[in-house]
Amino acid sequence: MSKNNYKVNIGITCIFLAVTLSSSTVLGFPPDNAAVLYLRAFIVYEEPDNEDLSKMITDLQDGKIKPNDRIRQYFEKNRPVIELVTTASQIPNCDWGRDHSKGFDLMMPELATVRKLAFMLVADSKVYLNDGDYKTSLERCLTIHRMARHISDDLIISNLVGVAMNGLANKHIKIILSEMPADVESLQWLKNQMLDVSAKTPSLISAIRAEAEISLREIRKENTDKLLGYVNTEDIKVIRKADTDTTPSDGSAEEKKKKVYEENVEKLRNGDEEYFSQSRKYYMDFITSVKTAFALPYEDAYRELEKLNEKIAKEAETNPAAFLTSHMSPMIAKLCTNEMVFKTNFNAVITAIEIYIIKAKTGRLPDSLPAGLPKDLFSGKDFAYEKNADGFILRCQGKDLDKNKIHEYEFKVKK
Amino acid sequence: MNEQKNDKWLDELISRTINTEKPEFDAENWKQKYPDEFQALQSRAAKIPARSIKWPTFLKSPVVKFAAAAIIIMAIGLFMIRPAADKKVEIAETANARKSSAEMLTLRSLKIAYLNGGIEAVEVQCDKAIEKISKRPERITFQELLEDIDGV
Repeated sequence: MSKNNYKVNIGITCIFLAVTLSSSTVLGFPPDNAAVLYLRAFIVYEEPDNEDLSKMITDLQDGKIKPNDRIRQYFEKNRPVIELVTTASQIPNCDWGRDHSKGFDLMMPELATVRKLAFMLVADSKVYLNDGDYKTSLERCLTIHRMARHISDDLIISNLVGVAMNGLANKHIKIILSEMPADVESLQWLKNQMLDVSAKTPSLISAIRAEAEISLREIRKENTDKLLGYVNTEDIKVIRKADTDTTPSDGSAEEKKKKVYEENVEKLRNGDEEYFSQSRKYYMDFITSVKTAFALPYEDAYRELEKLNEKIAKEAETNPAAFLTSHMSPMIAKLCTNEMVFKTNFNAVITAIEIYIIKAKTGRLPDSLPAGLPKDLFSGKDFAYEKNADGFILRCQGKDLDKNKIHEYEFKVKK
Repeated sequence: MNEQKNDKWLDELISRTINTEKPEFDAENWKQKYPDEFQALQSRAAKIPARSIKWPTFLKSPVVKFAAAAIIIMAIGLFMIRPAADKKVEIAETANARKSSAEMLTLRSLKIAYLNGGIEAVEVQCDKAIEKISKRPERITFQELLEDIDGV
C-alpha cells in the first residue's frame, strides 16, 4: 500500500513539474532573448504616414518645435512599440542570430532598424520633457543606452553604431538635466542607472577579437574568390578612385602603387596553402599587437596603433603575407580614439550628475570637483571643472589625437 | 569682329575651359533616320514667321560679352570643381543605389562605408537601407495579387 502511495506521489510530482515547466515555457514573458521583442516591435511599428508628420517629428527631436496633437496621436499609435522596446532593453541576453559563418557577407539589418527605434524614443522623450515628466523622459534615453548594448556586443561596426546611439542618448540626457528642477531622488536614480549601463557596455577590444576570428576563418585557399571580391570589388575601386581624386597625383608613385597592388592580387589568386598560412600568421600577429596597444594609456596606444598601420601599409609593398591584413585592418588608431570619446563622454555625464546632486542638496554649484569621480580617459586625470554664467564646463586634460582637439562638455543649470 | 566670330570665340573659350569635345550634329543622317519628325518640323517652321531679335545696343559691347563669358565660365567651374568629399558621397550613393538593402547591411558593405567616411557614413548607409526597406507598396488588393500570379 505504502509502495503504491509512493508511486502515486512520484507520478503526481512528475505531472506537476511537467505542467509547471511547460506552462512557464508557453506563457513566460518576457522571453530570455531581447531580439524576439525588438523584432515584434519592428513588425508593429507604424511609420509617420506623410512627409509633414515626418518632418514635425524630426523638428521635435531637434528641439525646434513643441509636441502638437498630431505628434501626440502618432506616439499614442506607437505606444505598444515603445512598451515592447522598453521591455526588450531590460532583458540581459540579446541574440540576433548573426551567422558568423558567412564571413564578411554576414548581414546586420538590425543595426538600421534599432537606430530608427532609437530616434523614435528621442522624440517620445521630448514629448515627456515638454509635459514636465522628467523621469519618463530620462527613462527613454536610458532605453536607448540599453538598446545600444544589445546591438554592439559582437563586431566592430555594430560596436560603432552602438557608440553613436550612446552619444545620442547622452546628448538628450544633458538637455533634460539642464531643464529639470533640482530633485535629489531622481538624480540619484539616474546616476545609478547610468553607472549600471556604462558597466555593462561591451568593449571595443572584444569586438576586435570577434571580428578577427571571422577574418581568420576567411583567410583560406577555399575562400580565394571571396577574398578576391573583398580586395577587388567595385566598392573598393570606388574608394581607390575617390582617394586618388583627393590627393595630388604623382604619376610614377601612383603607377608603382597600382603595379604592386596588381601583383598582390595575382599572388592572392594563385596563392597556395603556404601563402594563406603566412597571411593568417601575419594577421594574428597584427591582432596580438593591437591587443597589446589597447592595454596602454590612450596617448601611447594611439601612437603605437598609428605606427602599426603605417608598418602594414609599407610591408604590403614587399611582403605578400601583409596584403590581406592591409585590407582587413580597420583604421585601428581612429577606432581607439572613438572608444575614448565615447567612454569619456559617459564619464562626463556621470560626473555632471554628481554636480547636479550637490547643487540640489546645497543650492549652489561646488567650487571644485569632489574626489573619486570618473576620469577623463584621454589624460587619465580628473576633468578640469569650471563654473560659468549658465552652469559649468567639464574639460578633458588630454588631447584627442585623431582630431587634434580637447573635448569639453557644457552643462546648463536651470535657474 | 562680327556676331558669328564672337559666338565662335565664346564657344572656343567655354570649350577650352571645360575641356570637352564639341558634339557634331549630322543633319543628313538625322533627316534620313527620322523622316516623319523632319516633315513635322518643316511644316511647323513654315507656320512661324521669322523674327529678328533686337538686342539692346549695350549688349553688343565687347566688355559686356566678356563679362557674360566670364560668368558662364565661373558657373561651369563652380559646377565642376566640387569638393572631393561630395564626389565620394555621390560615387558611394551610386554604388548603394544598385544594392539591395540586405547587401547594404552586410558586414563587408558597412566596413567599406566606415573606411569611406567613418561612423557618419555607416549611419547614412543604415538610413538609406531603411529607406529602401520602407518603400513597399502601401496597399495591394487580393484581386491585384491574383492578377499578378496569373501574369507570371
